[in-house]
Amino acid sequence: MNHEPPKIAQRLLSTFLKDDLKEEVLGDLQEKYENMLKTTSKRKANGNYWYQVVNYIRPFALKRVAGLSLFNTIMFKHDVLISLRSFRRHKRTFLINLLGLACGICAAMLIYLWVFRELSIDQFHAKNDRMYQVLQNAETSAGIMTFEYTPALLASTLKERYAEVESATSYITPDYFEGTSYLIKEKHFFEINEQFVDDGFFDVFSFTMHHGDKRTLHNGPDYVLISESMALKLFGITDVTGETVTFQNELLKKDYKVGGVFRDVPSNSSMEFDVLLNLKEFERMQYDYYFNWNNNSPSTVVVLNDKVHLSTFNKTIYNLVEEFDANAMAKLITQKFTDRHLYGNYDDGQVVGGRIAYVKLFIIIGLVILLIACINFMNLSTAKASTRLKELGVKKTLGASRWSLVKQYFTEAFLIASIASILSLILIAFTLPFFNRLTGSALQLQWDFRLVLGLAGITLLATCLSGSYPAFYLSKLKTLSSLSGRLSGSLNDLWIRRSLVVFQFTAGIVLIAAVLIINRQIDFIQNKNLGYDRDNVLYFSNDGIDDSDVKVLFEEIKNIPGVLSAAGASHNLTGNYGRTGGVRWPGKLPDERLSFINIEAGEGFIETMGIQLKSGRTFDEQYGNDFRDKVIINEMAAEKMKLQNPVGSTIVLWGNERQVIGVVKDFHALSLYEPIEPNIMILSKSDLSQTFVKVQSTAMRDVIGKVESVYAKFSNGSPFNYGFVDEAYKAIYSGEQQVAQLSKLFCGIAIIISCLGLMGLASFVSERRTKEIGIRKVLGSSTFSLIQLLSLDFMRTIVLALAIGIPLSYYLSHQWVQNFAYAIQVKWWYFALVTLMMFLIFSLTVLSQILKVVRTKVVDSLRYE
Amino acid sequence: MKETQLGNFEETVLLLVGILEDKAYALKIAEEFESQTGRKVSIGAVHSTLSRLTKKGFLTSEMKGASNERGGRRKRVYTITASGKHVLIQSREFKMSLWNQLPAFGH
Repeated sequence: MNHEPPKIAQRLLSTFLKDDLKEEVLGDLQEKYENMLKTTSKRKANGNYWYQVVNYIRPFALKRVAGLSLFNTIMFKHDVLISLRSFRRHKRTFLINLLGLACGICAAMLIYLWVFRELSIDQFHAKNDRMYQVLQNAETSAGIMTFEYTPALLASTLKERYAEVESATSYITPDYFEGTSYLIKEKHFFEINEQFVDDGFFDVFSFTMHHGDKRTLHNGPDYVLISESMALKLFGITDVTGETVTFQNELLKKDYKVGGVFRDVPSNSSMEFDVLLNLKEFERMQYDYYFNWNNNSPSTVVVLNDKVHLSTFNKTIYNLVEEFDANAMAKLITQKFTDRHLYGNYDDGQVVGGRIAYVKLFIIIGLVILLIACINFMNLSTAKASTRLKELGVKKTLGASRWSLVKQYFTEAFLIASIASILSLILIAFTLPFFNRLTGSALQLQWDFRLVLGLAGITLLATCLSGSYPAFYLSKLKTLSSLSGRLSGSLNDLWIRRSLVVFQFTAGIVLIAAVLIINRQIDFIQNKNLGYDRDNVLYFSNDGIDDSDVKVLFEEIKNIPGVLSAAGASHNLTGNYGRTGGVRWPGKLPDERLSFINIEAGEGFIETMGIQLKSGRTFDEQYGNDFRDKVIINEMAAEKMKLQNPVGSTIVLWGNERQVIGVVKDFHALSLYEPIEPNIMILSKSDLSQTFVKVQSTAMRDVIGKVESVYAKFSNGSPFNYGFVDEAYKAIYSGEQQVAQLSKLFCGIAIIISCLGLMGLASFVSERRTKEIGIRKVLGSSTFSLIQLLSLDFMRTIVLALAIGIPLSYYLSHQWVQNFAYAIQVKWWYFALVTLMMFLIFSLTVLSQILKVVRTKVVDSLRYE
Repeated sequence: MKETQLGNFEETVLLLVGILEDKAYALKIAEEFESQTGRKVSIGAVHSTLSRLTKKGFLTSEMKGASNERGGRRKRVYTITASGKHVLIQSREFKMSLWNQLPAFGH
């Protein structure tokens, strides 16, 4: 009895298998299939049949298909020769095509390299498909916010409770610390990024050791692991196991033994650290509340086994925190660890994209630029075709098939694309450092599989895009009409060519508009009035300064000429330093939940940052008890709490009654992505991590040096680390900055390419009409009317492109600015500006070419040809 | 000595053809390979090697023996040629001579 193997597989096999092999192969596979059926399931047997069929796709077994050999050598050589000759004859067209394509390929390659890198982030972990980061969603007054910080006991609890959790780790990232951390060796300070990790860390992440054993770290409290390059920096060699170094950060200062040296964290890791410490060392420095379930400090990542049902798992842990702390507002969710880099934005507790938007945007931009470059090629070669019509006609008369003509044009396109891609490699080598600086990445031009694949792919794509239309359009022409030299341009062909140019211009318009609007928006954000004055404010971290010295330090700093005021705080108004929900106020409903941004600040902070007081007074230590039972709130907080007379009313913060002594005007304590939230400020005497100094703008340079020398008196050797508030604020928008810079770059490339094409086309069209112009001149045409005649066609195209491009770019920019809580108005005159720029470009390229022809002396133009 | 023209896999397949005698067709050779080495191999991979060995003149083949479980199709049965035997012997001798020079296994 015979069974029937999968039909589709059989059909596939017979499409490619040589006829004389059919009998034996089909026989063998049938026999195998029957054998399989005796021992296993039908599904497995079918699967194996497919496997065997696919494995017959080998050169020896493939049919020879007549006429498919693309590289029939003699014809191929001929095609190459003809192409090279035509390049030489039409040098200008060739150069324009080559330059355009090279720029296009270069842009596409840069984007390809960048995108590839973005996609490879964190993929090097061996368990990457099973690693999940546990995040928490917390309700705030601004909606549900998602944080990566989780309760300290979460990792161990997850591992104990759930069989699905194969391993779990809890670690403190370098971001946790506001101050700078150092390794100190013989009084030399080396800045580091330290990470405190528990003993599950290496079970989850695949970081490898260079010297020593990674388990040493958790054998005792006295060991650290350092990176290879850190070892080189400190000791000059990599094998430094057993050496002693001093570690210092804002929490602790202690001598450690180097337990081992790990290989540098790969550049495609989202986690960056060069020193690993035992998490127990961190926990030792914390108070008991560190282990409370409503305290969130470490990050938690788990590896789930492959049997896990993710949505069920998510459901089971969603309310986990509540079990331990009934008051906790946090809900747990998980996100695949490798997705965190590209999908890092959350809204209302859901993942809403992130960098992936840029990745997609740039893929589109890359394709558009490549397409623009290819359109140049199509237009110029179809336009030039009129001069090569005779060649075409003769070939056809001699019996060339349409297919061989198509091949010829593709060969030409392929040749030019290949030369362009070689040229683009040189361009990339030059532009890559610049590109890296713009994107803040470390891309390299390395000859590897990836680069070759990308280059080959892009070259082929360019060939297909640019070769297809000329090939099929020209090979279609009638023999007779091509011999007689008349191009009977049917309406259809004209329409295609014109729409290609329109597309090119529309893309140009959209890109110019994009650059304009992206840059306007970023300017707007960076210069927006935030409700405080961030200019000329210097800040530095209080590393190494004893609390008892702080007061003297302030006095000395205030005495420096040029310093207007100084204050301490643990919040620099640019980042997310946490919120609190522990506030009660008169008239609060039992289930009303409101979270406040809490800022602990020293005396004078409000004045130093230029935050404006609306009513009441600011903190003043002279009153003696401001730091114990007083509080300052912002307008938003007063409004949300519905306090009629905020100044003087009493609220309860963390169980203690505090009197509101002042209300400040709303200001942005976070980035402009977030709307203004209720703030609460309390005076704090100690534990302020940073000092802020307001300086007269003219005195800044002198003051920095003087502040540094004051700092050095108290810092016990810690280096002076300072920054400016306005720069810290700009840094929040570095993502937008990069996009703005890149959009300028790529838009520039696109416009250059389109201009090249347009120039080529314009010069060609007008040269063709040289004689006509000569005759018209003799008959008395004015220069103006000649220009009008020649440019009318281009003019129409541009107007059409504007008609499409302006509404399109209006729509797109409108969509984009919606991402911002505070966005510019998209105004009409942006588009007027775009239109103006288009006409400027138009006149520079087209008119210059036309003028050249029109200005030719009548005698010369009549003698032309 | 002249370098043998056999790859490792080729040599194994050639030997298997000799072992299997009149049952030496692609499927059986693949199965024998799997049971002797414990490694998985597709029939196509074996078949391509067989055809390469035939081209080199180490194997000949003929079609015979249709059976019902093959859907009435014949199979191609391979046999080693004289030059195939020669190349196998050469390869063995070459390896033996290398083994004999290995000091750890000295006489």
